[in-house]
Amino acid sequence: MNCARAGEILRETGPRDALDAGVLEHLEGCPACRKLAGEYRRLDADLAGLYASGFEPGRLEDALAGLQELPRRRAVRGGRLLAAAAALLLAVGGTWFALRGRDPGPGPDGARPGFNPRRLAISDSAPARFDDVEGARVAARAGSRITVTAPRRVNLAAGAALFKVAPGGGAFVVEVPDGAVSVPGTEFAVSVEGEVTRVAVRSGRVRLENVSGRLMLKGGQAGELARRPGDRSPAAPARLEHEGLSVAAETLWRPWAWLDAPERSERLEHLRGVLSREPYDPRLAARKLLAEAGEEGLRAAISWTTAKTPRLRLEAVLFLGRAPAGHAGAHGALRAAAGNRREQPGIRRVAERSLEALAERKASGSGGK
Amino acid sequence: MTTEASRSGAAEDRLVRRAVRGDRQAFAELVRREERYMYALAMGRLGDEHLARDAVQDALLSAWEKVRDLREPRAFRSWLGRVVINAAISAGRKRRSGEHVALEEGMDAAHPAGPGDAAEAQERRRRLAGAVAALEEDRQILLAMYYSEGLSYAEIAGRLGITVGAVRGRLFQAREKLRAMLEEEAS
Repeated sequence: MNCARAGEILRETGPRDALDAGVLEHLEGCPACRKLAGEYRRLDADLAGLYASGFEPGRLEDALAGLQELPRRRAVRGGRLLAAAAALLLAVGGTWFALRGRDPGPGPDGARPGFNPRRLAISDSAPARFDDVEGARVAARAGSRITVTAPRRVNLAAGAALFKVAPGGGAFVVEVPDGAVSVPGTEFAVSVEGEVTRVAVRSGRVRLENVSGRLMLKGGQAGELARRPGDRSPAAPARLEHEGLSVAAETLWRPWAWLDAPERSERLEHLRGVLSREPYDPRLAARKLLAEAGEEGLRAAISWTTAKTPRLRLEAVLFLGRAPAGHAGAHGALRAAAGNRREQPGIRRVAERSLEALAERKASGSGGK
Repeated sequence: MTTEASRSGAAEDRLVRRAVRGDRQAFAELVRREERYMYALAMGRLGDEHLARDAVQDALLSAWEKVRDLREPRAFRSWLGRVVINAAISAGRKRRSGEHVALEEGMDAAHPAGPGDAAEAQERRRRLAGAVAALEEDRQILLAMYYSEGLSYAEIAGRLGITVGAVRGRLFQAREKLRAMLEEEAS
């Protein structure tokens, strides 16, 4: 068998097909065809890996749960109008009843009958983290008031918290004043300040609901539940576009590490400035923030290169790659990260690339970020 | 066997017809069956788990809104595949315009997945996804069915309504294209 024929057969032999005996014999004596066969094997393995990577059965349930709430985009005609109106009335009434029914309201932090509520221990001076609160990881701001009121249901009476909910365990509900945030499995942040609850979604979908309406949010979006002064009932849930996105941007900027950050209030102010100038894209905002944080940001990033959280260390070495070319502190921190044998290989490589970026800029004489 | 296959095909057709008429349960049942396929299609095109999940969720909502326009129940899988690919294209556009690739990829590289070369694997996956995205839609659908769901040539042929020879021909043509694209990029 010659190489052309062997190549043809290799091309037409899938990973689950038996390889022709003649080709096998040819491969033994032909390094070029062995190389080709190796390329196909690698490609097949890579394709199988690519398609399987990160697949977790059951994730669709999150979206399907949201689907139940979505109207079908269909023109309502003729006789269907009455039915639609009746359905709407039922839905509104149902929502009202559901919320009224599910919310015992004035009970201590909304505890459910028959369930022994427990308050999460969060001090007024330091943030707190919990690895498993009814199937969710929770990172709460200092002084937050969170009570577990029922299975997979917590009440956030005040403060702010980041929730990461594992999918597949049914809906996870965060009750807030005047409403609820219901999530089938996602990562999101909630803050309660007086009459205003803000929600930012990092991934997946969440549903905001109160007696006035419902709103679905997806990754990268933020929304608000609010009651205007003097109003008897709260306003319908609203999507946030530019204002009040601090939690969203913080969450997306430094996932899981945001509560540890120094000079939080300064960053927040800066962030608001960035967001007010740009169309809202949290990732873009984060990037801009990193680029614009200046000397204060550099100092913070240098300290973060030794943080406990790998993601924070990674962001720090990424950020320092944009430092002014002659910045001694940035150079030192990057060199230390790149040469730290106990550091994760991925972070070391990013640190090396950041060092190279600084060196290139220095060589080209452009010292800016 | 054939009778069993045709029975199951007829049952699926009934589900599709119910979904077209607005039956959410039927639609949910159909897409549950296709979860792996949908994810694989998005992942194959995007090479990013988070984006792929988002794309599948978007595709699902979009499919629900558009399923009433589906005329041929037998074409449900191909049709759903195209909806997923469109959602993945849209997710890919957002990724490019958001300029967050480096940050997100860097984060993935830093995941404590093990001492192996996670960043390199991620890079290879991204290159492969880029090549898959350059293929025709029907090739992407074929690859997802073959590599992700482990379907035989005959099963794919049955589901797509084409011959086994056509499945093999298109599949290997796609694979050869991918190999050539990756080789060219590497050189």
